[in-house]
Amino acid sequence: MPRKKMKLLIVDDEKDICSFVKMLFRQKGFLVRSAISGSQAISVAKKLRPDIVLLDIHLKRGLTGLDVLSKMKETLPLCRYIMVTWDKAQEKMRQAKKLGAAAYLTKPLTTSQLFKVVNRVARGIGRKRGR
Amino acid sequence: MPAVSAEREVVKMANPLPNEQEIYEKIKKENITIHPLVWQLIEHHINNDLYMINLIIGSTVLGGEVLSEENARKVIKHSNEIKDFLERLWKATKPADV
Repeated sequence: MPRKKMKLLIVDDEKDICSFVKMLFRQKGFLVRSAISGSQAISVAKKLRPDIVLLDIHLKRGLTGLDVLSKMKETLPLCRYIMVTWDKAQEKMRQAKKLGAAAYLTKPLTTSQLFKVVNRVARGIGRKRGR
Repeated sequence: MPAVSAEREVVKMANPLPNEQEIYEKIKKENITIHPLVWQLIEHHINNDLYMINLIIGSTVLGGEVLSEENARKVIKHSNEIKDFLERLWKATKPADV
């Protein structure tokens, strides 16, 4: 039986970041969708029911990444959230951790760092599914 | 031809200045710091542009593709944005006697 594809949602207000991250993870066999705002992310997540969300903290308009994390956690508690930001402020990291983020990544990231973290989180989900 | 993983190759930074180690030691010894507001600008602008450049090149190389002209132009655009930002930062922070 074919293995179920891991579903990844990318949330970043930079369209180019969304397209290139999408391309990267499609090449790796993930089912990928993206959103360029917090409200769009919530609406896409309702339909997609992602396994992993790669979420930018500093979304320019409307909801911040932390707002999105808080709201999504209520409806998708089993999904794993990876926060991405340029901001190394410890307070933001603490808030994200408190809200249940699985990982916190600071830009600039290399593609191999991104894969490593997403794969680690994906393996954790895979193990849970296998139980 | 198999795709080349650029990230596995040893990447050398720009050649260090002849007195670079001395400069780092001086910075440490004299506790020379950069204001957090300046760091905020550096991290926001440079980190975002570097992330974009890495994604563009990384997704192309890992997919075993050739960099398209459109994406090459994006790399140039983000490199120029770093240069423009450094110029703005220099103008805003240069000492009065320079």
